[in-house]
Amino acid sequence: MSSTIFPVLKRDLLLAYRNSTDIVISLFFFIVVVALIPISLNETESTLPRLAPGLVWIAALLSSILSLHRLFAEDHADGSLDLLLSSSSVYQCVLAKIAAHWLVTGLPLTLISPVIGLAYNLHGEQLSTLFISLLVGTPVLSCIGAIGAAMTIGLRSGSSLIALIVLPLNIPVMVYGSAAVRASINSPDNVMTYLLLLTAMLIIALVFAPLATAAALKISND
Amino acid sequence: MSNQLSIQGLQCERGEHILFSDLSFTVKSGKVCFVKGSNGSGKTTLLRTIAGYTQPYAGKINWNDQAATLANPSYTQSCRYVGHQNGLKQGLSARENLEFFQQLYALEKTTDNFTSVLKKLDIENKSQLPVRNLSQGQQRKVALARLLLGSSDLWILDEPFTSLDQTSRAIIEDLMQQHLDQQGAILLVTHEPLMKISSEQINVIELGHE
Repeated sequence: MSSTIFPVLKRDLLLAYRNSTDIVISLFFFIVVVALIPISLNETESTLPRLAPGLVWIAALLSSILSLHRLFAEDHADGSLDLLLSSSSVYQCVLAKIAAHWLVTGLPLTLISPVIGLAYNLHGEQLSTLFISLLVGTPVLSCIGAIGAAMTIGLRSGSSLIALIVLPLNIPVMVYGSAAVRASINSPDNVMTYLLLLTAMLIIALVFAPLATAAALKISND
Repeated sequence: MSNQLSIQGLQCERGEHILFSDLSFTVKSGKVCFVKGSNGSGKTTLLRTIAGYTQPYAGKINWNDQAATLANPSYTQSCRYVGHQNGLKQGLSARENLEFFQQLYALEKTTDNFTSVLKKLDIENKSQLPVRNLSQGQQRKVALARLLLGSSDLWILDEPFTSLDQTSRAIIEDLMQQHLDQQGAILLVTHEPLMKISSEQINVIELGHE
C-alpha cells in the first residue's frame, strides 16, 4: 500500500504557502497576545519571568485553536474530503493534515519563542526549555484540535464549538508545558520529567488522535 | 472482466424521514443505471450510500460479491465518484488537482496522462491557472477529468452535466460511451436525457414512487 501522507502534506503546505495569511495571522495573534498582557499587568523586569511559562503557553494554545476550524471544513465544503475518505489510508491522510497544521501554526511560533522568552527576561536553559516544550507540546495541540475540527464540520457554529471541545482537552498539555518552563526557572532538576511527560503525550496523541479524527470525519461527512 | 454492483433491500433515511426502502437493483458492466426521481426523492443519498460515504439504514450493497464499503480497497480503487461538489482545491491549478488525485490513489503514471486527459475535455490551455479562475463549467470538467485517470470500473456520477454547455456535454457522453465499451459500468443521476447512449444500455431506476 502506498503512502497517502506525502500527497496530502504537499497539497496542504502548497495551499498554505499560496494563502500565507493563515500563517501570518496565527503567528501575529501569538505575538500580540504575549506582548499585550505584560503591558496590561504593568509588571516589572524582575517579575516577568514568573509570568512567561503560563502566558506563552496560553497564547500558543489560543493561536493553535484560531486556525483549527479550517482544518477539515474547507475540504468538506469543496467535496475533497470525499476523496480523502475513500483513499487507501484515511489514518495517513489525517496524520498528514495534522502535520501540515502544525508546520503552519505550531512550528512558526515555536521558532519565534526564544525571542519572546528574551523579552520576558528568560535566559540560557530557560529559553531552550521553552523552545523544546513548545516543540514537543504544540503538535499535541494540533492532534487534539483535529478531533474537535473533525467533529464539527458542517455545523453552523462549528468554529466556536471547536474551542469548547478542544480547550478542556488541552489542559494537561498546557499544565506540563508551562510546568517544564517554570521548573527551568525554579528547580532545573525537574525539567526533564516534564519534558518526558510531554513526549509521552505526543506519542499517544500521534497514535490515537488520527484514529479518532478519521472516525469523526466518517460520521460528520455523512 | 465482468463486474457487478448489486443492491439488495436498501433503505435510506434522512433525519426521521424514510427516503426509500426495499430498493434492489444491479449495475452490470457495459450498462448505465439511470436513477430518476423528483427533488428530495433521495437520489444523491442513494449515490453517496453506494459510494460508501453514508451508511444505509438497512440492506446490502455488494461489489462482485464483496461488501461495497470504504473499507474494501478493491471497491474504492474500482469506483470513481463525482458528486455535487467538484472536490477541487481552488488555490491549485487543474493540473495540480489532478496530480494530487493521482498521487493520493497511487494511480499508474503514463507520460502525458494529464495533457491527454485535459485535451480530451478541451481545457488543456487552462491547465496552469488556479481553479478559482476557471468558470463553473470548466471546473466541472476538471472534476470529471478524474474519471479518466488510471483505470476504473464503476463511475458514480451525480448531475455530471451541471454547468456544462452542449459541446462539453457531448464530450462527456462520448467518454461515458467509451467507458461502457470498455466494459465499465455507470450509475448516473441527471435531470437531462442522455442523447448519445443507446437505450439498450440504459436501465432506469425510479425513486419516490412508493
